[in-house]
Amino acid sequence: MFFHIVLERNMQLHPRHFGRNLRDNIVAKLMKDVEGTCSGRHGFVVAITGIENIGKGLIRDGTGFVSFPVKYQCVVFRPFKGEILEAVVTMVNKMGFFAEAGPVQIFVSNHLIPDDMEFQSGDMPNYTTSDGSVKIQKDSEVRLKIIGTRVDATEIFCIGTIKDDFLGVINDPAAA
Amino acid sequence: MSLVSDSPVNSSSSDDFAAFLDDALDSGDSSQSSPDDDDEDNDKSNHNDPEAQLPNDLDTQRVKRRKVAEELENIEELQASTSQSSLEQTLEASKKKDECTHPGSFGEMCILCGQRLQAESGVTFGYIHKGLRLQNDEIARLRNTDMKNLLRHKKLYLVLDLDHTLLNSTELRDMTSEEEYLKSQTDSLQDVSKGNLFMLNYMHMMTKLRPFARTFLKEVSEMFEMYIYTMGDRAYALQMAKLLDPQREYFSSRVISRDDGTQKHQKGLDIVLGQESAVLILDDTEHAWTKHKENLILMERYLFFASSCRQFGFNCKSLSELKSDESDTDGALATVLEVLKQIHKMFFDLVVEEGGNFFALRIFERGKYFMKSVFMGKSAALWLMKNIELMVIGVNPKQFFTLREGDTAYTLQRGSNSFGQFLVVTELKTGGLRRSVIIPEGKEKYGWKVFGLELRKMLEPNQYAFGGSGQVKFISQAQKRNPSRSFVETVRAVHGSGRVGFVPNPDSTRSGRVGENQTRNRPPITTGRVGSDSEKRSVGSVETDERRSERRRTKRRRI
Repeated sequence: MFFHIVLERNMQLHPRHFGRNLRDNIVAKLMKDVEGTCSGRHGFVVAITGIENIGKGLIRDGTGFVSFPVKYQCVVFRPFKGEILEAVVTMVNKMGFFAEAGPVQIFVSNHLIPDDMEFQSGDMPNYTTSDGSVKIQKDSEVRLKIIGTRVDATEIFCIGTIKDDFLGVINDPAAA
Repeated sequence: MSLVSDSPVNSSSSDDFAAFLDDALDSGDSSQSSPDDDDEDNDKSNHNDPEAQLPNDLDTQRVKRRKVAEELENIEELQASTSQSSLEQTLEASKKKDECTHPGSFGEMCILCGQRLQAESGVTFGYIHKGLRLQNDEIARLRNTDMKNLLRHKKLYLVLDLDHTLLNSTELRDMTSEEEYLKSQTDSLQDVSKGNLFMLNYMHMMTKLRPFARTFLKEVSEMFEMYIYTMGDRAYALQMAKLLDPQREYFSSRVISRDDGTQKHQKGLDIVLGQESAVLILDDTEHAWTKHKENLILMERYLFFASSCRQFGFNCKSLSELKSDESDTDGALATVLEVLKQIHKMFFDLVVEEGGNFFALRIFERGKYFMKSVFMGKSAALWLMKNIELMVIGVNPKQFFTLREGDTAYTLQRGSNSFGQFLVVTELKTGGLRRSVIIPEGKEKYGWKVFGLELRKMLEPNQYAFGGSGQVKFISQAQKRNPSRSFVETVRAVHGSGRVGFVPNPDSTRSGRVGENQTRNRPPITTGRVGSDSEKRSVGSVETDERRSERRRTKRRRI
């Protein structure tokens, strides 16, 4: 799920960045530091959309660095247990398949793929129903349900399932 | 998250949901602003409005709930809906914990129930995906299912080494002055599918593919599912895989490097997802595979660069210094390809043809350069089956069996040579015509066991122990109609005539599909198909462990 929230962060800035472009420098550094990182609480920071305010700087003793409290708006993405997500399949193997929804890596084990879908090896490995009407392969788009999440410093891992009603392939690149 | 559905009021689920969101986003200790703050601070953004209203909704819901709860006089339990939902979650989780065996984990979560696992256990499969681990039971299960799949395509597994087997690499600084000329002969990295000699500047390496390597991979990929297993590090392994297989059609993600192994300085088949008995290994270093010497085909080392020669203690001029190379057409790889082809072709085909009074069993033994076959009738087939089974059990010490059926005599002879025991089935016809096939014993008599089982499955399916019944039996369209059936036959079928060989429609149970729903104790080599034409009723193919003895043979040959 996406959220648009306001977060706060203390930015430490070297004095050489001071001057007319101080504000720009803070923003640039903030983007570099924050975008693409994960936190267990908020999930993945997709993008910074705006700066609320930049507080008064405080000189650190000893180093000369100045820390500014910055309030910024950002879009975060966090998967939840039980959430339905749409994801792109990146790898299919006999254990199941891996899919990606943005920064999130999702693994769907073959225990959690409907029993009528069987693994077919070959140069394009896939899971196919016995009548061949539904096929999951690389680059397929699937709708899945998340049953477990774990957030690392830079990555989010999820366990998903497609063994439920209304889940499975939503767009097959081979058919198109 | 559990969307609790025990309450008839629809909104209660959204209540729990909101509560959970609230809980998940605001229970932390850091000084983050809550959604309410957002609303105050930020007028221009409308995104926050629904969020900001959530808590209000929440309050009203809570009031509603509390009313109900008062009626029930159970205030204590329901007062805090957040704690209740979390309680239910933990309850649910603990219930699942009892059921789930945690067959594996991905990012420290169980791949089946999604639960966080504390202890790291099982074998890491980092080469497939970061953070993936599997338990032994799961590996065994995957191997079994995969085996069936593979045998349907008549494939085996092949594990290939990189260095000195498929290619030779050297560091640039180790190159001698006599090798400098190579630097001007390198092929471009843009189109790797043609070249043989590559300079990888960023890795400070020069790599030469063994002559014939590309053709080898192409031909072998039709017979084997291939793995790369190298003692190099991951980056190197992937780069080499890219050179050998730019389209990623041979190996895909089956590239195993030193970093993925479970033991230092050892290569093991424990992280190869293939039944050990069906894996062939091609390597130049014997001591890397101490546990799997049986599966190993030892290769002659490919030492192209001078530094590699020195590494193995050869002081002669290297191939690169002599400006020569291994032969393209009869080098080591070409030779080994022939061997692999032979090993792979050791499949047996059993064909049963029957209809009315007619019965014929045909046994084909196929090699690369030959195909041998024996035909027999019903009584001979039964005789063969019984004797093979007796021999597997070991109750009959006889070495020689004979049978006469019509104008044909059959002999079954037991023999042995340095590769183990074997059975020769010979068909002698009047006029001196004779044909024979050889059935090797295989490891732990597996060759005979499987042959006997396959025969029994075709000849007397009702005596063959099936597991996992309850599936609909497969009846092909041709048999359903069966135009050749006479009235008498139909009547007999209804009343169940006991005569063997005259049961009008035995094919439905006999067709190859029977083998597909069986229990674990069934040998892992049965694949079945139903013959396309109505005459060829039942086809099963047996693949024995001939290849094991073949493998030993090839090892001794020291190609």
